[in-house]
Amino acid sequence: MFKTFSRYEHKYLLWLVVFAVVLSPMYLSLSCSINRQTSVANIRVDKESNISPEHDNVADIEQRARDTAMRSATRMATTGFRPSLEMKENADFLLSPALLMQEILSDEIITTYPSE
Amino acid sequence: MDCSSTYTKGLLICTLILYVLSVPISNTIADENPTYNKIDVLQFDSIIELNAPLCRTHVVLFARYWVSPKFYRMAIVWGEPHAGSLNFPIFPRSLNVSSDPAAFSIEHQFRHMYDGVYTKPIGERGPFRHQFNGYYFSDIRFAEQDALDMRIGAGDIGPLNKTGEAEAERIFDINFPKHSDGSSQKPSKLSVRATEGRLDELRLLDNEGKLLKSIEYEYKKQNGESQLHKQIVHLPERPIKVSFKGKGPTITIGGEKQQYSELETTHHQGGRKCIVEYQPIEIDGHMKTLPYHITVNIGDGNRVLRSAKLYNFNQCQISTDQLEEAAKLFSFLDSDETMCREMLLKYWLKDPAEIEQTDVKTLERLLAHSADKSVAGMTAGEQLRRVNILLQLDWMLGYMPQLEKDFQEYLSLLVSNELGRMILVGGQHAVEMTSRWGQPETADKLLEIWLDVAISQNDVETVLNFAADSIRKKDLWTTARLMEKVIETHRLPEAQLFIAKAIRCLCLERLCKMLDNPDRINNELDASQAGWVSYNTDAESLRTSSSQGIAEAKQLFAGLDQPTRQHKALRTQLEKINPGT
Repeated sequence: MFKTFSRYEHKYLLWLVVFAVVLSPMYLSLSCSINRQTSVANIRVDKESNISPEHDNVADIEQRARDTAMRSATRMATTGFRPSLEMKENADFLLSPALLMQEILSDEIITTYPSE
Repeated sequence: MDCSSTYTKGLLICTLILYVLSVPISNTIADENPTYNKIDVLQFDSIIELNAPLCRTHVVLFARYWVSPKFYRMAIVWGEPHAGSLNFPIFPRSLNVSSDPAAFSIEHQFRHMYDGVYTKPIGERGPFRHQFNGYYFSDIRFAEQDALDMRIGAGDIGPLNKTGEAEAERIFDINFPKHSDGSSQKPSKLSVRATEGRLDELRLLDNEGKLLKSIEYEYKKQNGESQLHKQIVHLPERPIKVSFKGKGPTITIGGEKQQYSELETTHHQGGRKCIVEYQPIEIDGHMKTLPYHITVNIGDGNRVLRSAKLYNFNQCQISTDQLEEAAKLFSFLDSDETMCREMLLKYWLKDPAEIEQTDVKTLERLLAHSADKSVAGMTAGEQLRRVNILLQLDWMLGYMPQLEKDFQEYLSLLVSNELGRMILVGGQHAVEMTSRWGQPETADKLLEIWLDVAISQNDVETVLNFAADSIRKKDLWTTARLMEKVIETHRLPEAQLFIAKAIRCLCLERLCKMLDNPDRINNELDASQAGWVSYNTDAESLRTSSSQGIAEAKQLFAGLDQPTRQHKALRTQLEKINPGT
């Protein structure tokens, strides 16, 4: 094999291929970090930069970046629901003593816990 | 004679026929309408503490429950804090909720927005639509439905391993009916661990094998038998679909725009750990193992989100009609309370001299009646309700020595029911309310009483957390005095001492600004606070005390090895007030 290489006239092309293989993940990582800002309903969202350079599949990296951005955007867009979910838990808790006691009083039901 | 005997015979036969016919008819009516039947009901009282970490509120509800395997009713007799805002979807007093196999009902004595009878099946909750701390109380009907969906029948797990058998673990596939929303939050698999015929652990899994809920059971030997002692329930975080009113937000990723009317967020963020504690309780001469305390924590259990203390267990036979009557009698406002409420609305924050003479007599009659009411047999909620009427009447009539006495009784009730945190919240409300009624001298006296009790009944961390919340709510004078008291009475480590000093200085500085610019005060709360502070001191003295405190606090901060985020935030705020000292 080495012999074949040594006889090959356009060795510089091989070196170009080697360089391309080595540099492409670095380039992808760099380009993603540049294109990391996404706007969400009047809110600018920064994608989290946890894209590992080992990922050589561009589509995969892009999908991960999109998922991260979507998670971040969802977190921001649903902030207003959090206090209401807190209230829901507290209001629903009023039924827990009654529902738990029903489980205990009934022979046909295993006592678990009526999570609110 | 013959004629009359024939007539008598005919009458007798008719009566007999009517009697024979009436028995099955009356039985049918009784079967169809449960109000004619008496049911065995377990009655108990509950003190429910609700914390809302995001809104930084603490609420205590006092309720009574009547429960049978197929029916329950709940009535709220009182809620704290009584003065000021109470973070709950509806004013809780007089709220009644009942449920039987046919319907789920909600009734309130004077706020009717959630009143209704919802026939069963209730249906699915659907996506969650409430935002910004709003929640329709009527939606709790879905909480019952959710709980029923997660119930496990004894038949679902089959016979547990026999006595003497070693620990065994089994996994069962269970068939639950499919739900219309296609939700995966319904159990479809059970993992059961049992020892000697006793359930040790139950894990409810969804159709993908994800954990929905796990329950560990702990037992204690009592009289040679092992009795359930504790349940430890883990609820992992779970996705929940939320729905926006209107079109929803537009999200742009990589140049692609998309509008979402629904998104998925996390429910039970950080997970929940619920602990149910059991103990043998004597009811009608029989010992029963029943839960007496429920605690729900965030994650691994460092922060209590809510709890319920269950007590006063009593077995009774009662018809649902009688029960409804008993529940309303227990929770609804009586004529005296209704009158007091009307008077309070009429004379809110008015000078006692402005009260009409006839109303003064009515108020005095109400005061005498409430003061003479026997408290024997009253629950904690009922006693607090009584004290609240007394406080309101004292404020209206300007009976300050009586107010001092009633305030002490209020705090004693909270102490005896181990409601330490409510002493901080409710006590502060009552003190500030006295200042708002234009009674700074009495407010000072109540403040001293409150400080002593609040400090003795709470640990330093709770007091400091409360102070951090109070400063956001602009309760400045009481918070500054609370911090002074905690510094004076405790030998605090530097990290806590810094927080106490910093909060005190921030309160004093804001009060200084109020006193310096009285024209800028644009609400009654701030005006009464400024008036109260002016009664005690002046802006110059406050500023001197604050400057000295800031210098001390900054020095303490410099000595902290690992300042927390709170330390750094407080330091930044101090720097803004007094840069470079």
